Amino acid sequence: MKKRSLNFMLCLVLSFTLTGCWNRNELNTLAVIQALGIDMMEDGQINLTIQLLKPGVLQGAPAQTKGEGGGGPCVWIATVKGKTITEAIRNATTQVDRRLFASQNKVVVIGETAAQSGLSPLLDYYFRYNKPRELAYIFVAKGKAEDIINAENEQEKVPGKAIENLAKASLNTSKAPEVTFHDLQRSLVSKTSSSFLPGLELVKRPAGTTIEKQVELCGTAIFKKDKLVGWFDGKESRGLLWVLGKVKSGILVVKSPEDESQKVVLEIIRASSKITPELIDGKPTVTVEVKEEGNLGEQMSSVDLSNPDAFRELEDKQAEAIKEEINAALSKAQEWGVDLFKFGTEYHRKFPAEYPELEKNWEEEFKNMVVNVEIDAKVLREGQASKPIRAEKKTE
Amino acid sequence: MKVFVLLLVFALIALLEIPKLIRKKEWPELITFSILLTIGFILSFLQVIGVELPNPNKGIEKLIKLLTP
Amino acid sequence: MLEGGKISARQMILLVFVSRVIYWITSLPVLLAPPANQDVWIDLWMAVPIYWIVALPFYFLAKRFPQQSFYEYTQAITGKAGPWLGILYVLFLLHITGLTLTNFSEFFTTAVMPETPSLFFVISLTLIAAYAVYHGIEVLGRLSELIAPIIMIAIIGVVLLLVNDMNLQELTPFLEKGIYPSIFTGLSPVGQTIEIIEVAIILPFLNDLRKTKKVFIYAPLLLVFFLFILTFSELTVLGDDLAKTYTYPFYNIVRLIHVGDFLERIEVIHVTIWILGMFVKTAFQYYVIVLGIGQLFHLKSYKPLILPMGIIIVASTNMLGSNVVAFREFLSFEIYDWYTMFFILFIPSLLLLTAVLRKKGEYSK
Repeated sequence: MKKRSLNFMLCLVLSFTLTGCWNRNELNTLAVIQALGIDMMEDGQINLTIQLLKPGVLQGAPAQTKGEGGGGPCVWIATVKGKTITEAIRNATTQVDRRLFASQNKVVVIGETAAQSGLSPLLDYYFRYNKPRELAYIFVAKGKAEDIINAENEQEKVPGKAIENLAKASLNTSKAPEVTFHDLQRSLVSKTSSSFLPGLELVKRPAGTTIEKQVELCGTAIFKKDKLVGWFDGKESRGLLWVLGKVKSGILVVKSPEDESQKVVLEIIRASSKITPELIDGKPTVTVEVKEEGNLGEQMSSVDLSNPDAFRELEDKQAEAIKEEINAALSKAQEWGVDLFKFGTEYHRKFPAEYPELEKNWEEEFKNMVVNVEIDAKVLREGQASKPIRAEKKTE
Repeated sequence: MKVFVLLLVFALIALLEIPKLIRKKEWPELITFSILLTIGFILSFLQVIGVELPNPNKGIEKLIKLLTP
Repeated sequence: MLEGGKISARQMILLVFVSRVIYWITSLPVLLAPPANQDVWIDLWMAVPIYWIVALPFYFLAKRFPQQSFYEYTQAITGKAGPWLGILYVLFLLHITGLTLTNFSEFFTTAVMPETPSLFFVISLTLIAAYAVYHGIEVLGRLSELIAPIIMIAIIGVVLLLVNDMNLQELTPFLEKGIYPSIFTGLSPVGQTIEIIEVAIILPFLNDLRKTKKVFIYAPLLLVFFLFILTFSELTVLGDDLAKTYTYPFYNIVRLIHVGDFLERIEVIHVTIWILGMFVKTAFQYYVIVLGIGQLFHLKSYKPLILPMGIIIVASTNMLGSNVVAFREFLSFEIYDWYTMFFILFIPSLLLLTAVLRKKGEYSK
């Protein structure tokens, strides 16, 4: 009897408490953020540009009718101001009728002026609050982030998705890094390393196309501690990625060994790097070894390159090209005094006893550091064609 | 309102346990039960009517800071 | 006899495992104990011998009083002061339970559901735990046997999914500050393990008393092994600087899991095992509190005490407040470990000394 009454009470209590979550969020009460732009205004206020999904439109309109006026855009833009990011997001509720939902947001673009004034104050919100993802991609806009977020895209119905795909596709050329919040956090927390982020810019398209301007990836934004100091172009960006061992794929164009006027394309298959820190008379000296494997991807000359001598020469030229890229990145980084390559961390690992002394004046140490670059580049395969279609006989 | 809910909860607990204890003539159990229920009632009643109770963490913290270097 | 049930040595070890490891999957204070650098994963093995040292007084006391729980032999040894010492321990355990429940609700309000009032989490968990306590030690033992494998599989599975993100370089340089700080690193997890008292309280319910030694030897090994897995994965995935800045480092690395584009956002697994484990942990602490009162006042049954004690638990949890910063300072290495060491090492050692001097209890080889 007693047991039954207890069970009954339990059922009663459970039926009241288990009806649903307190903080439940249904799709039709949410404004799903697709991309977020952070700009700093002249008066120090923060201007947020929020790209919000319109789920109904996304579902209703078939893809082919887009551009012909059917369906309409699947996103809309809210622009809000505030003294801090959190305040701006709360201010957005005065124009967005639904609750802002950040968990699906994979793209955050930071405006150039905001980046110059420092990243860490802007990102605290992301590290503290529980909703945004650590795996979101983060970019720096050349110019204003607002323009990037506002830009439309030909391919994707959701422009934010297009930017996310650009970040993922960057490995095809390795000319821009792929940086998530998690990566950024790890470089920001280090005392010696500096951070870098991929850049985005708006490029005018030829007249007569449906979309006037489109977003393109452009090199790398370089930060000193957390403040933007300058930009790396594609070549320098790849130089940076070579040292970090993050080059996944890409194309190297070198001059043909037999015919200087023509180009040969080498496709990067895999690459790895090794950083060896040394102290010579108390002066830090770093050796960077990069191992690379490439394929002969394309050649424009008509000479036959499929012989060991030519391959060896190609390997040399390939190594030369890689070295040039690395040196371009190194000299610029040393000029600015930004340790993008995590050399400081390497010294901490190898010389824990000397490191505290080095750390104090790391910027100067890094600027005056001697860096030896050693490249081991191989050309392994040549694809399905051994000779060009109209191969010339090699002139002896 | 809160006080009313609180009283209801305590009445429920008392009704659930006391008759059984009396029937079995378990007097020590009844006394311990009543003491605990009274302590619980005082603590929760004070909190419900908004009295700020001392936080034990703070006292322990002060004591340990005093005793340790 | 207050409790007629018996549990096996394995159930007892798993009960300790669930109670302790479940706390470590959120906060991991060992990362902040000196030397607080990338060596924590090696240094923490020092915790094993320290665990054994701390367990020694309990082990010898259990040998002297094989049929009695911690509360009972405290009374046998100290005579008139016994009940007061018992009440001190009950209050201590009550305080620990309050801390556990605050921790439980704090994790939810910080990481999962920020707007739900924390009292809601506290009351619901206490109610469910009360139900488990009502059924006695055997049910708790079986619960631990059911839930511990789930927790183990979840932790190991999550860590395996993270293998790609691990960077072993983060662990170098090895032993930067030498071997000496490892003593402090070892002390930190031991200081948190108040479960050792709870084991001393339920030891007489062990179905085979010869296995007492087994419990004290294997439970620390299991704990430190899982502490190692957690610390190792957090350090290699986040690096030691970042791991220290996060309130809940393990939760954050679970959020980082992504296998291709299809397996992401599996932190709900973490929340699930957190609820399951917290349920067992709270029920275990709840049980030793009501059992303690039952034994101190020589009652025939502890069951009538469960509901009023639940109210006291909820009310005292509320008293601890929910100021996270003050809370973390209290739980820090400098304060919390001294507080618990007083109860898990100092008083038991004194008890053992008194028992030897006053020749209480029998010592069987």
